[in-house]
Amino acid sequence: MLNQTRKILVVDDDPVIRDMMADILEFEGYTISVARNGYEALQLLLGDENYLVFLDMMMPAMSGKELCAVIEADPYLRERHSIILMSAMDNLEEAASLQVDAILQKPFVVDDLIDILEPYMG
Amino acid sequence: MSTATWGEPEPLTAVEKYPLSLLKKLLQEMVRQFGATGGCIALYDESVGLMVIRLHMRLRSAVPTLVGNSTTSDSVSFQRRVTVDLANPSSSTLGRMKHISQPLSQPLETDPIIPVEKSVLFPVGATYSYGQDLIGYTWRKNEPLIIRHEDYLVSFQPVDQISFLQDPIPAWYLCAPIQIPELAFDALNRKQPFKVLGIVLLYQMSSAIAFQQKHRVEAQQFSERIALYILNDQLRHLHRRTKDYMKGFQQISTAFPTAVKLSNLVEDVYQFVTNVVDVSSMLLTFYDRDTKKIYDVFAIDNGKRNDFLLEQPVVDSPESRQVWWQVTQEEKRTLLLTLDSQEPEKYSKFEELLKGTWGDQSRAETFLLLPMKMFTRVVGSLCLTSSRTDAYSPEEILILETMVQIITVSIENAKLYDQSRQSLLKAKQREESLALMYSALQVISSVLHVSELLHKFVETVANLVQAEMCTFFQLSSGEQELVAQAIYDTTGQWRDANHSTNKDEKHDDLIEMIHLPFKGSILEHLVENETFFYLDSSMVEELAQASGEGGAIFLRETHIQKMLMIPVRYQMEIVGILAIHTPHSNRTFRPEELGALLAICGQAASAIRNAQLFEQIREAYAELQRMDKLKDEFIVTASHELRTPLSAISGYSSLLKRQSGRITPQQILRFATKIGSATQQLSDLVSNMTEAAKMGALDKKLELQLGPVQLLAASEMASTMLSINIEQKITLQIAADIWLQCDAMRLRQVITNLLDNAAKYSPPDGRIIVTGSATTLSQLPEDQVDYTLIAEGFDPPVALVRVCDEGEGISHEDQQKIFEKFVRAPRSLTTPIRGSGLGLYICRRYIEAMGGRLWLEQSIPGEGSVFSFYLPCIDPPIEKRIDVEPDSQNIGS
Repeated sequence: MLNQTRKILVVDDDPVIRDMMADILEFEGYTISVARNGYEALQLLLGDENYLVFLDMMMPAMSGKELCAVIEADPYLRERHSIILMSAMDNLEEAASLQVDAILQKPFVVDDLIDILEPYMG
Repeated sequence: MSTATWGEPEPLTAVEKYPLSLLKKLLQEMVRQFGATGGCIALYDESVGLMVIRLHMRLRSAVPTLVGNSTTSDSVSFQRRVTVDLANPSSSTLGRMKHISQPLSQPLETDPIIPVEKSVLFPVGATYSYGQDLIGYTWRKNEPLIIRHEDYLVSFQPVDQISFLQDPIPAWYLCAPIQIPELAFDALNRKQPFKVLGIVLLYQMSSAIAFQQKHRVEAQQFSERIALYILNDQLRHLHRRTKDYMKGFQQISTAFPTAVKLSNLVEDVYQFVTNVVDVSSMLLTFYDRDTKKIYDVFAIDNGKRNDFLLEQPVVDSPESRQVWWQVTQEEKRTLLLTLDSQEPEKYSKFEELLKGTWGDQSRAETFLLLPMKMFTRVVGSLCLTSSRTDAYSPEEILILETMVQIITVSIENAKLYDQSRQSLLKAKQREESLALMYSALQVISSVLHVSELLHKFVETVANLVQAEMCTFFQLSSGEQELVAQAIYDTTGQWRDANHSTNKDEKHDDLIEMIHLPFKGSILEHLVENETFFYLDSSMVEELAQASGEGGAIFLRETHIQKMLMIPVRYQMEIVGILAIHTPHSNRTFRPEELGALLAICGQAASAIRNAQLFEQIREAYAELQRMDKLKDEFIVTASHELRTPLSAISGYSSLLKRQSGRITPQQILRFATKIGSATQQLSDLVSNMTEAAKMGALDKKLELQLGPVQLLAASEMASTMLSINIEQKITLQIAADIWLQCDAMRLRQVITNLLDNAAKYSPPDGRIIVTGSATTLSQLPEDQVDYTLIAEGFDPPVALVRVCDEGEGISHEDQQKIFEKFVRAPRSLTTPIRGSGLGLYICRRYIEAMGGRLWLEQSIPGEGSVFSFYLPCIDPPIEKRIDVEPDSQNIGS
């Protein structure tokens, strides 16, 4: 199953968020990779691993939106990775316009994160 | 003459044309004088060309059928009145006639002569053509005639024999034509449509008393008398009609000034004169005492009219018309000359009057000059000539004099009317220019764009007074100079002077190059004291010498000879100066032009003021909009900023809750620290925002808690707090003995903000270095120091703090903006930089409030930026003096 081999990638420019995501998901038994912007993330996504990506919207270098566009343009990438967008309330509309698998609204509690993550991780 | 000229109906009835009362009187007298039984008078009726019986009278004793009827009593009373009249010999020429024939023995009262309404022979109203019946026969014969009744019947067979049965039958007839005496005829010089005015016929009932031959002569004389009476009566009517005519003039003169023009009036005068007297030529002359000139305004030379005179009168001086002057202005008399072509020297001294505008009148027979008197003043003359000898009788002259008197008033009125028409015209012109001005003002007032308004203003002014150049100058802010803002230039002189090839935008640029000196120049004084003034060429040259290049070119190359300058004031404040001139022209403006200019300047001043205010408001509004946009951006960014610590708090707290069973105390501590840190970040953000809002909106003085603060300690605290969130290494190079007098919390906030900024714009591996050094104020960069202190001899110790990063740098155009509220170095939202955008604004405010300055020392794109600030330095407090060896620490995540 594709899900079995999936890893989690957290893409956020804010170290606080990255650390927090790591802390939370470690307790749930996941190992995560992090990227500070869309560009770093793309390097990982182009590798062999399949990822569930927690993607922040606003980042320097390459934003979430730009990364989405790149993934969308490549069916191979799109098929292998699932994208969960982390978006604030005021950006939901824009987030919804992107071809992503789910949207996690910031700020969130751990239960919400787990709920949204489990379908993808089995 | 026709009274129809005045549009009135013919006032005279037939009865008035043939005055019955007069005729009755004459016929009665004639019947008695000739011892006749009765008689009748037939008068020629022009309209039918026949003799018409107008009156038939007879002794009452011979009118049996009519005795006792009302006509009789009328006749009696009538007769009495007549009797009284006849008794007065002086009332007529009767006295002279009496010796011709003795009155008959029959007393007047015993057998009065009464009008006969109905008679078989010669009834009233009967008409006779030329040669018809006895009357027509006498008309044709044109001489008195005596005929017997039998002969009459045989010759003319007037009526049925039977008809005579009802009426007494005359035995004899005496018939005479009523003729105008030869003398009177000539005097009147009338064209005679008929020689015989009428026929008078007397008859005698008694065949015993026949008319005698001597009666023929007497009848001739008597009929002439009747003719004279009739004529006299006609003249009387003529006079009355003249009066009517004059009444018309008076009417017309009171109808002024709406209808009558001088040209119409003189035309009427001519018509009038030709109807009264014989006129070959006519000349109407005026003297205007204002101009002291003599004007010939109307002239007819032997029927030929000079049509140009009314438009272009012949003007002469009194010196060249000495005779005219003598007669009209000194003698003030009517001059009647009978010219004798045989003796030209007799009138040679009046030659001047006879020649001139109306041609040569020296061959005329009669000359008449009528002075036009206005009270005692003679305002002109009416001269007439006739080809007839003695053409003007005293009566006619009287009529003409009266007429002239009346028309003088009319003409004076006409002149007045012309004058008032002129002034009306002027008023109209004024009104038009006012209308022009008001529409111009409206245009000006409706424009709110200052530059457009000023261009409109100068254009309008130039057009209003037909000046070729009009320039508006504005006072520079220090009132040192006048700077041209708009030029209207129909000549192209200014453009040419600048050799400008492409017109408008370049032209506008060039306009602002025109600077004229103001403060200390002749202009300053004049502007202060004058409502308007002129600059002559020497003043212009003086100004040009004191002007810069643009001003000198303007002053010299636009060929100013005389330039009108109008200070444009709004209330007491000078808005600018309007300069109006036409190259090479020495024009002085007329009062009405100046008035209009001043009015328009006054109006323009407030319009300019309004436009300037509007522009300010517009700028303020644009600023407000910019601020609004910044605020919007700020809110977007700030909400993002708020959400990050909130996400951390939310995430960690929910993690603590979810994993409470399996979580270790170390983990709890770590998560709690994370929560605390996020909370601190959040609270910093919120306080930043409220501080900014407070400073921006209310511009409150900050509440500071000043005290000694160790710079190193404050920097360490800031650095430690921030290091949790940033990846870059922060290096502090600060001596421990630097103490500042400031608010510790604010200082920490400033340093945190500067470090945070440095981190945000730097790559993760970039270095951030904070240095601190003690120095004095005079050692700092010049542009950041308030030199008033130094000037007063103070050079206080200060600490200079610099925060250097290796970030992307700030572009030159953004360097000035970054200290404004809400401004962040511009990055789009797709590549966002976190930050409230309040940091530098707040930082600068804090530092300044604490007596220092904060500035961007340098920023090189791609290499990094250096932000610096200084604050007053103090000696370290003794109990806290600690020697700290290392002056650098590395703190990083």
